[in-house]
Amino acid sequence: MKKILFQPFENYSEKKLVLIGILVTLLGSFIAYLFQARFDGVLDVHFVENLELHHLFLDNSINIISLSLLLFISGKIVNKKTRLIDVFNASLIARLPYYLISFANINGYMGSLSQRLLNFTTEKPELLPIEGTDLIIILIFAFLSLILLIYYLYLLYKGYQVATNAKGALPIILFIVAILFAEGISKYIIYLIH
Amino acid sequence: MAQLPIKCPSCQNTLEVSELSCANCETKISGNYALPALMQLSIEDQEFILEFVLTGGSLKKMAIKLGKSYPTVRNKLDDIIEQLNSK
Repeated sequence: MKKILFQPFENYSEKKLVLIGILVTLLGSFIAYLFQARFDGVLDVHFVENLELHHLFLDNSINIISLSLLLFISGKIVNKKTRLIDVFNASLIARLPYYLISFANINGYMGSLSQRLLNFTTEKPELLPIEGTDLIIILIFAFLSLILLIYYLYLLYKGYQVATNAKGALPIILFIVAILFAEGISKYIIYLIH
Repeated sequence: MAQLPIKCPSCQNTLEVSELSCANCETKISGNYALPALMQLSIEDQEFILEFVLTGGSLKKMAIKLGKSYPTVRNKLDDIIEQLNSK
């Protein structure tokens, strides 16, 4: 179990990782469609309305491709032997747990809560549109999202480390730069397309 | 069989061979002989090199045999090459 959760890139062949990664990404995109969660950027997730299934597949494809390409460029700087398939697998597999965030929007609850908060103005603070229970749920959601984000980045770095044989500080800096660029590029492309 | 020590337990310097003996006739040879580079690797790394040679130098076959991914095996080999280059 430890191997699957924390060291998948060390112990499983690239074919197995690609197959599982693609199947679970398709499933994750479908779940996101059911709960109207949109992954509109490498690190983003937003709950929106009127999503169509192809939006989800397109968004996730853009995220995975941007992340793979940027990590591949950064990986080549670290180690010339870095292969695209290994960073692609890292990008694919690391995102899998992140898709679980979609479940927070069962019955559109989290989406409507976010919308109510966004509509709130400070001019009338007594009209704060959330109750105590909502606040607790938001805090739990924020905590779980943070855990999933950390786990996503942990898996991504582990995959990058195996793909590039990363050692020392330089690969960590390049890894962070690659993610930030991938986030910007993916968001921009998704914005252009939709 | 006992593991061949390669580092001095007192100062951590690399050990040298100072005596060899024949198990058959008990002839002993004394002198100062440096350990070959491969012998200075850890037992795990030596076994890895042995497996690598036995699989005909195929990292893909090694990965299947060891139940590891291809880049993990390639990284291990690269680390050993780095160690050997630094000797």
